[in-house]
Amino acid sequence: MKPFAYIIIFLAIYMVIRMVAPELAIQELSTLLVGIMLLTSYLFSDIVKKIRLPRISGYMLMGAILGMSGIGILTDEIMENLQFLENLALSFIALTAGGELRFDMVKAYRKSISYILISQIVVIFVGMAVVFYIIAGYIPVLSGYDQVMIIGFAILFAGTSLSTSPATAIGIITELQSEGKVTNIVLIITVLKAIFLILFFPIIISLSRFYYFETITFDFSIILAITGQLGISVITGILMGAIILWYYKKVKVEMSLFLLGITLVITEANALFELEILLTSLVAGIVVQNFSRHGESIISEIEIFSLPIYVIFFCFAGASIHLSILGNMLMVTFVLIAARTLLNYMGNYIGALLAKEDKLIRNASWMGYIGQAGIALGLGIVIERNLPPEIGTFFFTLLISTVVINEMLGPVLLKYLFIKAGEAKIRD
Amino acid sequence: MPLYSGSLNLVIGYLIGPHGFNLFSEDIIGKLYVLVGLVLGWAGFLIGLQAKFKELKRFQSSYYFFSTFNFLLTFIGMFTIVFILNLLLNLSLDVSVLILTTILGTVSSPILIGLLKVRLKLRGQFIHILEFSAALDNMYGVVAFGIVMLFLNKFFYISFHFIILILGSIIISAFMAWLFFRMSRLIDNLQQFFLVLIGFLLILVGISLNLNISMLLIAFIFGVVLTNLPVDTRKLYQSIASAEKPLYYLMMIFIGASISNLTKEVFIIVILLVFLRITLKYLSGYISRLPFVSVEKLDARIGLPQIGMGGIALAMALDFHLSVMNDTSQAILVIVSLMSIANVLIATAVFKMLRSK
Repeated sequence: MKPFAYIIIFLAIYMVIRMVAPELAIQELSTLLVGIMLLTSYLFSDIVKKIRLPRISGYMLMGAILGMSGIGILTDEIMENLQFLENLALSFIALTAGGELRFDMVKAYRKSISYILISQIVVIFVGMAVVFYIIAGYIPVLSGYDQVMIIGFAILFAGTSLSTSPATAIGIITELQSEGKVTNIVLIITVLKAIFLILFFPIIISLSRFYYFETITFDFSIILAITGQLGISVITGILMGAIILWYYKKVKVEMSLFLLGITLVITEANALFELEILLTSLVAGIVVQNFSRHGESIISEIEIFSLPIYVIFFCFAGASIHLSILGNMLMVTFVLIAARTLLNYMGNYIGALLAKEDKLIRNASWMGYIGQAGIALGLGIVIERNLPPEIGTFFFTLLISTVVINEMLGPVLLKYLFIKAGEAKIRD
Repeated sequence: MPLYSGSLNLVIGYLIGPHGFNLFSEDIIGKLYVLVGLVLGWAGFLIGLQAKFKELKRFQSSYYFFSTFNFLLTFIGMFTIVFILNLLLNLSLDVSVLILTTILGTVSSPILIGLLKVRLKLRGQFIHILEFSAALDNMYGVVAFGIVMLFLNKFFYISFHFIILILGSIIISAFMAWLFFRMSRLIDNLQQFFLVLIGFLLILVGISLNLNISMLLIAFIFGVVLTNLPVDTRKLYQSIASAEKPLYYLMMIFIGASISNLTKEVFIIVILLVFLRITLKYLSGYISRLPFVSVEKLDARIGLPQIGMGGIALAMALDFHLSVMNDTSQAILVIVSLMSIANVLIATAVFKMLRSK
């Protein structure tokens, strides 16, 4: 039987159950849906694999089909109910991503990493701010705002354009079992960019607020509060990393269960103390990898559980896609995506040139930084809360529109890059 | 040193849960409902996997007679105890709840027996029959539990529905097992195999939750059908082996975190039940061996190693609690959890005694 036939069978099972028991509690329905989501996404990834797309694209596309833009099984209510699971998956992936950031690797490629990272941040941030400022005149919603306020919005959008997706990078690396110089550089820069953005985005927001709120004065206490929150996230991450290492050294029983417990604690602590899940988990992973000789084997303990987690995470990401939003802002979206891609290329090229890197890294490694996912959406929510409602909603919608395309493009380009670099062990 | 059969995870769960150090908030079970459902489905599935007909045929008929008779005797004795307690404490429990509680007290722990075998380096018929008996009583337990749960079903009001539900459970599980078998041919590696397996289990658990059928029963039937199909057993068992313990312990932690209302009365009931259950197990084992197995060959205390209350009793209690979510189900979950901890501690002493002989 073909994968497509299985997908139809699973969806039919769902329909039959809904017919037999139409008044279902949300939790009971969620369990059934997670099962259907796992299997259909896996099967759909099998289909996209045949046209040489990465499996991650299959998970996301299936998510889009199941979501509100598709057949509407994964409703917003269900997604909200499963948010804890999504956060758990994010924590798991970030822990793995942090575990991939080896200080010896950073040291080995420090020149290339620092040049490319700085060059990308400067070129993309400045470039996207300028592009947004220029095209703002063609966006009807922004027509009533004066030029100073537009600068504020441009700074915000430029900030979000810096985001890349460590989850996508880890997902593709795991899928292709990619290893080598390009893989290391792309992964390290992606993780460092994520950390940079989480740490500095509050400052970007504060800076932009000077422009769009004329009456605003510099409030040091807000910066202090945000810094404090980030500091606690980092300290919690260090603590969690230390606990994992202690457990490995002293107990070493059921490591996978223990790591699951740690991610649960991080996710729960996030809800209670408003920690940054991503930052805390990344730091924990970095500590585990770099302060023990067994870092790699500790992280690999969760290998068996990693696939269901990736599927859940990317399927959710796909289900969040609202294609109707994309349709409304098609032209602006495409201009912004094209500009970001071009600036990514330029930033990467300049950095690699200054670092005297080889041709492949200069010309092709920009493909590793196109994907956007959770971080960009997280930043979008922060922006929406910080802006007046009418402009906040517009901004969030515009951001999602660009993330939707980048989210789909990212894995495909990343796969192409690793295969081109000859670092992917699994090519199909 | 007490025998470690995973019961420590109950204590850990309690300590980190909302009634301990409150590391997890009150609604953790609600938030992780999907995961809880998965571990329950997993428990039922593993028991079902043991029912490979080809393998079962190899055992002597006396093993079946002993185990079945032992199960029935314990069941009748346990029901009497529960019935009397219900009258004495004026609990006014429904007959189906009394039977459910009886089943929980009847099943034993194969893990504890496995540990006994390893620790005491036991060989021969004594341990062989014990392992078989524990596995079989778990199977009887899951089936009986699943049938009694059907009486509590919201769709159940006439006998016709009862038959539909039983047949429906079997047909759904068998169909899913067949589907898994077919789909397993598409799978490349172990990780994908594991993903597909938990996907199927979640769908089955989802179906059982939506139709109010026991999660354990439906996953059990899935396991039985699957193990008797020509599926790639190497991949199947490899993917199970890597996740078996973590998921089992996770279930214990969830149950531990759900424990509340630890009153003096609860402890008194637990002590009483533990004592009565040990006596009952001993007597059942003693009596059951007489008609079917040569008396000289089988130790009279064969019932004692069966005093453990393992994961399956806890899984049933959790399944029942998730289905009805009332004070009675909560109390049963707490009592079974405490009894399982107490029995592990007592089993240590019993095993030392057995070793000396």
